[in-house]
Amino acid sequence: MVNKWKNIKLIWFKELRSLKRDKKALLTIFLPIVIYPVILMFFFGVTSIVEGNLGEETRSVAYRGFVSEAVRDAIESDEHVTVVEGAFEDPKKAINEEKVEVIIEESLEGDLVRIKLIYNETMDKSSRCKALVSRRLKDYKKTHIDATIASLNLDENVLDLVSLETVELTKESSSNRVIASVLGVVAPFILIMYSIIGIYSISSDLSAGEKERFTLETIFSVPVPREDIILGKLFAGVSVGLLSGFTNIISMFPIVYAIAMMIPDLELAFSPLLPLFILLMLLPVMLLTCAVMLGFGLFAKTYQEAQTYGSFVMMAFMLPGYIGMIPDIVYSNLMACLPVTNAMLAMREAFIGNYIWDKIVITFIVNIGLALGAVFLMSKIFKSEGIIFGSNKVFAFRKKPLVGGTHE
Amino acid sequence: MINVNNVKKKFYDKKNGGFYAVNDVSFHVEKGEIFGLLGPNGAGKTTLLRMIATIMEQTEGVIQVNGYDTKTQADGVKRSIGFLSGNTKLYKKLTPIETMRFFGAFYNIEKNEMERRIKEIIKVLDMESFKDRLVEKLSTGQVQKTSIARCMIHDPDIYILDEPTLGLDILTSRTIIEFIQGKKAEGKTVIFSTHYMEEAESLCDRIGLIHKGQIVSCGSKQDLQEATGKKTVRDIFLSYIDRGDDGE
Repeated sequence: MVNKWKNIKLIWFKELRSLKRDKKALLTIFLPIVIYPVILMFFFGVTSIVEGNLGEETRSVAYRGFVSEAVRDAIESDEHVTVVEGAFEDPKKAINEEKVEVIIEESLEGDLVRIKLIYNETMDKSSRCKALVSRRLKDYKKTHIDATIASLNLDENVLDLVSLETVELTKESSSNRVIASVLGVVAPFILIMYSIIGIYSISSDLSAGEKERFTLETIFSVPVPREDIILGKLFAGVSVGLLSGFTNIISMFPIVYAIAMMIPDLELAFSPLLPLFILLMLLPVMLLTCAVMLGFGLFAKTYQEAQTYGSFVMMAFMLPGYIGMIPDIVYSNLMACLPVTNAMLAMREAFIGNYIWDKIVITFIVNIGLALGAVFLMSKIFKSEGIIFGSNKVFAFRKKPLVGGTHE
Repeated sequence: MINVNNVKKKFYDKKNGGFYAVNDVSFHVEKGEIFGLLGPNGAGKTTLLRMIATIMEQTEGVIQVNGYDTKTQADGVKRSIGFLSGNTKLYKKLTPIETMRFFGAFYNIEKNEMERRIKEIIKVLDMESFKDRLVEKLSTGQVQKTSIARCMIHDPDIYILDEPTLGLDILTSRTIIEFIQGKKAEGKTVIFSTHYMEEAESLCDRIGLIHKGQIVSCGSKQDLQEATGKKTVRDIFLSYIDRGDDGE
């Protein structure tokens, strides 16, 4: 047993050392560390520029018919509003032809001042102008009502005859909860997806790549059982997958931090056991993914061919990952039996401090069971001369007569 | 040292079904002997040597290497042999020293002894100048020396070499030939395959002529000359083919 572990460790560390010296592979894994902050800076930079520009833009309004001085003053008090003079008999045409963004009409019905804003919701400028004018008119409305109440010597609370109050149970930590919920969906997804991508990037090299480079026969000639060789490779693949997943999460930290800073009074406090729990959920999924990818890769003759097989396997593993992203999906017994999705849902719940142990046990048993099955199959494939050397029929359903070079 | 008895290896072909790549082959190799397997491409040399090295399993028959059965005592066989072929390439991201340490570790060699052997091999094979350079940056000759070093690290009693000079330039081939001669001088056993008749003629104590999966003749050069009346190994081999002793 000690010797077996020593063999596995030798292969495992050799693969990691080779990877460490492979600039291309390293770039695939560590590029996100650079990419995410760049994306973040770009996103916030562009957003602030766009918002700034929009705030400085001038909005054009026009009055149609009689509009009182008070209404005009309220609208024109905003320095970004310009008034376009004209009759505008056809408001729709005028707005659609961008001659003006909003047309304002006013009518009096007794004491009631009725103001009509004509705009086009589908036109961005018109819609923004309507929002701006509405804000100004809202202020005007309040001033007008207050002045009327005052002139009638009424209590200013006369309009508040019914008071409506809503109490949100998690109000004290609602922002924390929202962030935790978002992280609960996004973080497991990123972890699983990038771990799978990490495994995909190395598994072809570990399987068909070795065949193509003629190094398999070299390692087969030394006294080490083949299951030790493939287990060493499996561990190397899983290590790279986990490294890739966690690298991506860590590199996303600046984005999460920037978002968190925007929310006042935010106090996120995750359990210190959360990373351990995540690892526990992630590990069987990574073992399963890597075993399946290595297994398929062994059938390929070339690295390229293995990459093609691998991309299909990757898609098959990503699909249940996307299911876990569906907002209303419940972590039920059925979902706990669906590999990949189950781990994602378990992690999602853990992010909001909800550990549903009966489902977690099902999830772990299902995933570890499938992983062990896949490892067993992969090991069998690795021992098959037909697959490794392309020299034998692997699954023979019927015997064919012997022909060819020499006969029985 | 090596006993091959009635060994068969069946392969499958999509088009034709099953066929024997090695068909009822028997021979033995004595301790300290250089035995050459001589035959054209596709004769079954590689398959036969792979079975002796436990990389493949024979369909029928028994192979014993250094007293170990290849099917049931593969570990013992592997510890007794050093296997080198065109298909035993090296890991490109390791240096020659790391290569020796990596492969040596599987033989449970004690750390100090391993370092002593590495030093000795580097000196014997003149690898000092490139011992810390990645294999991917070495010349063909340097790679071949590293491959030999990889084979020698556990100081095996038997060397199994499959077409060791195939595709190599004259200088690199010389390294291999000198290596084989050196091992013979040390009393080691060498079995190697080649399709270069002259190489077999100059190096081997005994030769097994293999064609279409069968040994058509086996013996010393003198035995083969007497049996065929031909002088050179090339003529001897062709005489067997022309006679139809080719398994058909």
